Amino acid sequence: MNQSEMLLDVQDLQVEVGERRVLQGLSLQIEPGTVVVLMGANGSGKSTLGLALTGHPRYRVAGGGVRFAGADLLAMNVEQRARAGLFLSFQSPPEIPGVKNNLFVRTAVNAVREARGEDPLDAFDFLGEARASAKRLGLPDAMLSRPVNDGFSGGERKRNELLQLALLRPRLAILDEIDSGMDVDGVRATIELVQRLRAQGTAFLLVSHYQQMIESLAPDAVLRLADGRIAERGGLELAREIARAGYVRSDEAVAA
Amino acid sequence: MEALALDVDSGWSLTPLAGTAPAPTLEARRFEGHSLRIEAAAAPTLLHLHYAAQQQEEAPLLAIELAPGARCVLLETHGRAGGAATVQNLQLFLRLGRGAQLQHLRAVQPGPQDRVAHQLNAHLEQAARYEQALLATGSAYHQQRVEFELQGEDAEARIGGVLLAAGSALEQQVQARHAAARTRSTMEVLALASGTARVEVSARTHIAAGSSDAETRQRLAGIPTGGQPRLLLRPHLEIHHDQVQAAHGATWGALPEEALFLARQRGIAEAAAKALILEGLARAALTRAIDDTALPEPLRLEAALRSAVAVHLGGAPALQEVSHG
Repeated sequence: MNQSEMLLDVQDLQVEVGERRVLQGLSLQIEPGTVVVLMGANGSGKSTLGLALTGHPRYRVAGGGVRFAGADLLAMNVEQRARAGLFLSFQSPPEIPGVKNNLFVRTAVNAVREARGEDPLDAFDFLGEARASAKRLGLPDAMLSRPVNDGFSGGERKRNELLQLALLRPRLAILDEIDSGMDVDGVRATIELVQRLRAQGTAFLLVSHYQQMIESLAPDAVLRLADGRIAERGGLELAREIARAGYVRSDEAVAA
Repeated sequence: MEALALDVDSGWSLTPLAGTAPAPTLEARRFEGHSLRIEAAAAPTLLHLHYAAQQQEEAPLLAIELAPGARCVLLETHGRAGGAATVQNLQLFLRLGRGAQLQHLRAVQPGPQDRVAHQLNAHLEQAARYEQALLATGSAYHQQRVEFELQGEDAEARIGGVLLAAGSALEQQVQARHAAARTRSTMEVLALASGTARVEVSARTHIAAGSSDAETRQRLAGIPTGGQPRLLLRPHLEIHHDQVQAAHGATWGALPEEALFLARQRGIAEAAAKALILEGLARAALTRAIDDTALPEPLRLEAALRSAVAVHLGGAPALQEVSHG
């Protein structure tokens, strides 16, 4: 696949958080409908990559370039990136007191639909879709009428992220440790959703330490991040090696 | 619903909601002003009380009494009959008998040139419960002053306020006096200010000697939403008894950054995201005082709040929430 067919093309990306340069020349490409797993030790910059790509104001791009579906991603503001089809599931989804989940998600879905030139969903169509998706994800119906993530458990917050993913149907979803805090049913629901959306063309950049989920998703590529760069590329065998020997061993192997 | 404007010259109109029985009536008092008495009934009395300013300068007075055991939900709104700016000094006296309960929702949104001062005094007897949710917007001068006296044991008052001022003035003073054992008071105010607005909030609790196991909590928060507003938040406790629980605090801060980023990351434009989040914060503050979700729609502050936040931010109201069964 040539560069023009890449969904995401990151070249030599350098990102600073405060005074610290976390990403120091990271390059990666993701094709439509593929699953790429990003692994790395704590503090290696995995979350920074997702937050920088989606435009978090505290993550300053100091160099490099990013093209998303052929357009200059870094020239877009946060909501333009989202409307272009970039989705980030948060490692710790924040709460929004007083804003009911169904209102929040419907507002988001209709903003994205408008950007795609689609008609907005009316309240009843939206609720029908939302309830069906929530049921598939094991999210209690009552969560739709509660304030966003307010009083939700860790697993419920992650399921709520998945609900938004399912309804927004992005081109690329960055899932940052979506499995943390989830029970086995939640992990199973995650795998089913990723597979279903992948079949419809959504690509995934998955940050995970959970070997069983990585194996189940049969990723197209596994990347290891170290010192703010992609240190190693491979397939499932790389994920298995990291699971077996850890990140320190992997660093030594690369150095050798 | 049909408004019962019992004294068309008074400015007050009273609208009992369907099912309310016996329907209370406004009565003219011997002194200048009106009174309203709510009797105990099988179901809470649901009322909408509206005051339309009649004159350029006026001092309306209303006394509301809840009989022992009476329960009432009262929405109080304000407007004006004519277009001219008004100077208003309104006094409202509340007396809650033993075990009476009043949920008092108030929307006071004067015109930009109006000069308004409202003084509310509430007297609570044993085990009475008073809840107030206030939505107030700024004007040339706008002061809301609430004093409640927890006279009977186990009496409880809960005050929630959302103040919005864009280049205008707004002041709220809340004072609680605990005079009996096991009395409880909660005051929570969220002030949103922009431009050259000046917003002052003072919360003061006095716990008298002998008020064993009294509890009080003050929580004041201010968020500047643009420009260089002045936000003055003053929590104050005066405690004359050892065996009490008290907490107070004031916070000034920006919109929650992570919530704003989440909303924008989901495709919601920044201005709409701010409106959504501010409305949510305001709604949460009011709901903690009175959870109006189970009340009939005409008694809720939801629509007024949405509109006030939109006006405050200079935009259109955010999406209306869909009801969810």
